[in-house]
Order: sequence, then C-alpha cells, then structure tokens
Amino acid sequence: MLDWLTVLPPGAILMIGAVFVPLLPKKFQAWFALLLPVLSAGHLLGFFEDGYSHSITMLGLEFNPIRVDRLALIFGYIFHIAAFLSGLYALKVEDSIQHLSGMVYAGAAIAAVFAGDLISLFVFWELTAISSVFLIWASRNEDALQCGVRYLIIQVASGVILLGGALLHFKDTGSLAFVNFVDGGNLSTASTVILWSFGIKAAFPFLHNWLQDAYPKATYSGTVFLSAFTTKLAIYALARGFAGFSFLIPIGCIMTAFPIFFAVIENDLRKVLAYSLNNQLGFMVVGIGIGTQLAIDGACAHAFAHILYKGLLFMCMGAVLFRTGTTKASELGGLHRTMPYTTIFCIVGGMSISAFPLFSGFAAKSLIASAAGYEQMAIVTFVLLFASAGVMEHSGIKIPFFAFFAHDSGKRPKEAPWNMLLAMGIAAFLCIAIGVYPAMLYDILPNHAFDVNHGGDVYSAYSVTHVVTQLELLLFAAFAFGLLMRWKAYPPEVPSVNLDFDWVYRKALPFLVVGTWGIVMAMWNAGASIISDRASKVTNAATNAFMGPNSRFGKDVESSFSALWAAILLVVYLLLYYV
Amino acid sequence: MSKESTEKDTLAWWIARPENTNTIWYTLVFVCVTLIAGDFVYHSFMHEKHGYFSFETAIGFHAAYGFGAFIFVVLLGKELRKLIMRPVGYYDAPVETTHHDDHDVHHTEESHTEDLQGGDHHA
Repeated sequence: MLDWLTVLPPGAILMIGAVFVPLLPKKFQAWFALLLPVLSAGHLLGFFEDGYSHSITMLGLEFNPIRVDRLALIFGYIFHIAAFLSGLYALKVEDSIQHLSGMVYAGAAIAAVFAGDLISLFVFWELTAISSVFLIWASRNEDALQCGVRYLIIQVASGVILLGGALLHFKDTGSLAFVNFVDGGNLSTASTVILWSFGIKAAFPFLHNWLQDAYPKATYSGTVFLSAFTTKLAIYALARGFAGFSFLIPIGCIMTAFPIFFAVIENDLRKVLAYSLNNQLGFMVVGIGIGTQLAIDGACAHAFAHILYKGLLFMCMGAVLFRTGTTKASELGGLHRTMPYTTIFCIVGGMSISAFPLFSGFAAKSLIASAAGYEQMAIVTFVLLFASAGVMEHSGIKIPFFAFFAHDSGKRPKEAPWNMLLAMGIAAFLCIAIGVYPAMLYDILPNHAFDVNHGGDVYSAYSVTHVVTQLELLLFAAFAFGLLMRWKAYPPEVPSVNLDFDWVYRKALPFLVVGTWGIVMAMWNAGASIISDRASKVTNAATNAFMGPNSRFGKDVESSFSALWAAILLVVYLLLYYV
Repeated sequence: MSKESTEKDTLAWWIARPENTNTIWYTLVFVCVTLIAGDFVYHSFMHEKHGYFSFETAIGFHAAYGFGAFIFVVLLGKELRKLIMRPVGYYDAPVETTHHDDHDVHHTEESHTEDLQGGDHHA
C-alpha cells in the first residue's frame, strides 16, 4: 500500500509538503515546515537503503531519479539534519515565503543528491537555484533585490551549463547516467562543460563571488539555509563525477588560501563567514582531487562536519543580526554580557571550524590531510596547514572576538529566542559529539574511513603527536594574534567595501556595457542625423525642384498668363466638341 | 527586572575584563611553552615523531608555521586593504526601503544610516 513511497524521491516530501505551508494559518506555518524534515527523514530511513535504484523509461530514454548508495546517503542524512535545524532556527519567522522556499530548497538539494541521471540532477539543480533566491529577496530591500537577481542569473546559468554538458555527454556516449567522468585522468569536452557547471556552484576561484555577494544579504535565517545546501550539493556532485581528477587539487588549494586574506579585512561578519565557507570548500575540493578512498571519505566527512559548524556560526551571527540589526564588526563588541549562550555556541563553532582536538573539524579535516600525506603531496600539505592557521584567524578568533568581546559597543541586546538557542545548542552538541566520538561519523562515510595505509583499520585522528602538533599550530596562531593586538598592529575593523572578483561584473562590465551602449547610441544618433540630413536634403531638393518657389509648379504666375491658358483650353475644348 | 539582575547581566565576563588581559596573555604564553616542551620531551625520549614528511618531524615545526602563517596573513591583509578597500556605498549605496516584515528586520535603519556616511576609512 505504501509502495508509492518507494518511487517518491527522497526530499520530495519536503518539496510537496512545503507547497501547503502558505495555505495554513500563520501560526502553524513554521511548525508545519519543521515537521517536514522529520517526515522526510523517516521516508529516507524507512524506504531506502544502500543499493536501491528506481528507473523509468520516457521517450525511449532511461532516467534514474532515485539511486541510493553510501555517497548519496551521507549527504542525504546531513541535509535532513540541516533542514531540521534551519527550520527550528526559523520557527519565529512569520513569513510564509521563507518557510516555503527554505523547505523546497532543502528538498530539491536532497533529491538532487539521490538523482542517478544527469537530467534528474539538472531539474533539482535548477530548483535549488530558483527556490533559494527567495531567501535573499525576503530581506526586502533594494540591495538584496539586486543581489538576488545576480545570484539567480549565476545559479541558473550553472544549471543551463549542466544541461548542455549532459546533452553533449549523451551525444558522445548514449548515456545520461551520472557517474565518474574522469577517464584515465582526462575529461571529455562534455564532462569539462559539466565540471564548469559544478565549479560555479562549488565557488571555484573567479566563479566564487556570488557566494560572498549573496549570503550576507539573505535574511538572518535564510543564510542558515543557504550555507548548508548549494555549495555542498556541488561538493557531492564533484565527488560523484570528478573524484580523482587531479586538476582539482590546485584549484582546491587556491580556494583554501585566497579567501583568508579577504576574510581578515572584511568588516561584515556574515561576509567573513562566506569567505570562510569558500575556504572550507577548498579542503573538500582538494580531497576530491586526490581521489583516494580515504580522501573522498575526508571530503564527505568534512562536508558533514562543515554543514554543522558553519550553520552554527551563521546561526550565531543571525542571532546577533536579529537582536542588534547588524553584523558589522565595527559596530559590535561586548555582546557576551547579554548574549552568553550565543557567545558560548559561537566559540564552539569557532573551535570546531579551527579543528581543535575534541571538536568536529579535527576529526574531519585530518582525513584529507592524511590522504595528502599518504600521497606525499608536500606542497598541498603546506597549503592546507597554512589555510588551517588562516581559519583559526578569521573564524576561530575574529568572529567570536569581534562580535562578543573586543571593545564594548555598548549594545545590550537580549539573548536569542529559545528556538534559536535550541538550534544552536543541538548544532554545538553535534560538533563536540563528532569530535569526541568520530566513529559515529566515520561509520557512515562512503568507504567507512578505512585507512588502507594503516592495515585497513578505521582511521584514527587521535594520536599524541597529532594532537600536540595541531595544538601547536592553533595556539601559536593565537599567540601571534595576542602579539599583534599588544603591538596594536592588528588591522582595526572599519566600515568598508572590499573589492573582489564581483567588481568585474558589478562595476567594470556595467561600465563597459553602459559605455559601449553610449558609444553605440552616439554613433546611432550621429548616423541617424547624417542619414536624416541626407534624406532631408534629397527630399528638400526634390520638393524644391518641383514645388519650390522657383520651380515650374511653385512660381508665382501672373493672372493674365493664367487667363490666356484658360482661354486656350476653352478654345481647344470647343473645337473638340464640334469635331 | 530588578536593578541587581540588570547589573549582573551586563557585567563583563572574567576573561573580558581589562585587568585580566595580562593574566590571559601569560597563561597563553605558558601553554605555548609547555606545548613545545611537551613536543620535545615526548618525541625525544618516549616516542619517535612520525610524520608524512621529514619537515613535520622537527620539534616545534607546527608552532613556527602557525605563528608565521598568522602574521603573514594579517600583514598581507593590511596591504591588501590599500588595494581593494573602498568606502561603504561603493556599489551605489543600498537604499533601505520600508520593512514589510517587522519580525525579521526591525532594527536595520540605524546600522545602514551609519554605513552610508562612508567616507575615507583608510586606516
């Protein structure tokens, strides 16, 4: 009787259920939205297991809308957790559109993860783009409106490129199956196109700026949704399609490194977190590029842990935004006095992302570092260590310090509402639980975190050496911070806009377009005036020739002359009459 | 709320009070020194230091690298500011429209008006 539930893609309950949200009375909407991830998780756990697949044939083509394997499952689990926590966090939001779009977005991301063919992937890929933009527009100001348009164009473009790649791939191979495209270390043209599509959503360097542009402009709860799904869906897609494509290693390294510098000088703490998100994606992309079983496990573990601590940090900053109306570091400081729980949760998030031992980042990031070590990638190791120190700077220290400590802003906001605190508390608890008991996470990784270089045992992050070296890295970074503060050499927080690649399409391109348009219009006007000049000369000449004052028809004629002509005409007429 | 509890709420945490800054600083210095000492003692006398690379086995490598990386990031960031920092409102100042959703964003006016003052912020 419940068979139809096995052909309903995981996540569909979220998407379908969300449509009913606006129909309900206001006060039930958020609660109903919160119920959806629970139902959907029950659907996933109750009806699907590793190895399940459902295909349909349409128009002579085979589609595979549901494919369940361990790689899809771990993302399915964490997306459900993220949807629930985001829903809980947004429980007091009285805005139907946000509940609707948030849950459709989460559902689409989940369904995309379980899509076994490129067309199904494309459909849900685009749906995540279209549904999520409302979380930005829901801020309801001019800035967010324009930013949402930019976001939508870029996200939809990613989907269109994916479709193009899928069709090329189908033409080449006759298959639409979404599998690993790396063929002996090389990519076909079609799969290169698909990589571009994934690269946009995964915020590859130069394709990244939509993220830092859009995430800080969404609503306080919208950003919590956004931080979980879009980029991690792209990470999943890269892990599925491009694991072991070594070109991803340098790309990932650049991603871990460059956002750090932007994060250091950025004043908007939600934008700092967006740069930090970009940097974390770099670690995952490196893992996918390395492509060994341990590295893929590392990328997945890191995505899992990252969704929790990044969501937690965005929740903390969302609570600050909700209570004070700003996340500008220059306007904040000293909030720990009246927001103690938020402060503690933020510190937990900061320690998790910085990968302190006993926190989730440590358990997850170590897998990637070890995978790079096993492959003897010294430069990669150097870059990742550098990036880890950078994470400590912008997320471990800067976020909690400038929001909750530093100079007292004099602001005394109320503590966050209970539902936000609960969502933050659960996320913080999970961050610590994964750090203390990583086996819980390792158990659901695609390759079980088996460490083949270590006799095939389950990977272990905790050794005295590893703990000591990691603490050295982090605490000496903290020491450097202390030193810079004491020397007053740490750059002060100032309200500003920092240019990034989006300058190209927000300033240079419009300038070029407007400039070019201006030139075109000037030429058009010039051309038009020349043509109209010419035309009017010709017409004037013609008019003058025939009807001008001196023309045969235009001349004044004497009346006697006219009378003579009239007399002649009458005579001719008379003669003709008698003939 | 009574006056007492208001004061308690707004009291800074121990770690945030200026008079304790030095205590925290020297504690951090002490912990750092202890870590290096522990690294040295453990890996010299008790357990050979293993690593994927030879450079990792040097005592205090991670400490030096973390310290150096942090300083480098901050100082280069300061230089980067000279290059890319622009006044607020550079991308055509965001104009706050009226808030339709009072529950969401009922306090943004203040921050934005401050931002819009923009001006020369080069520190």
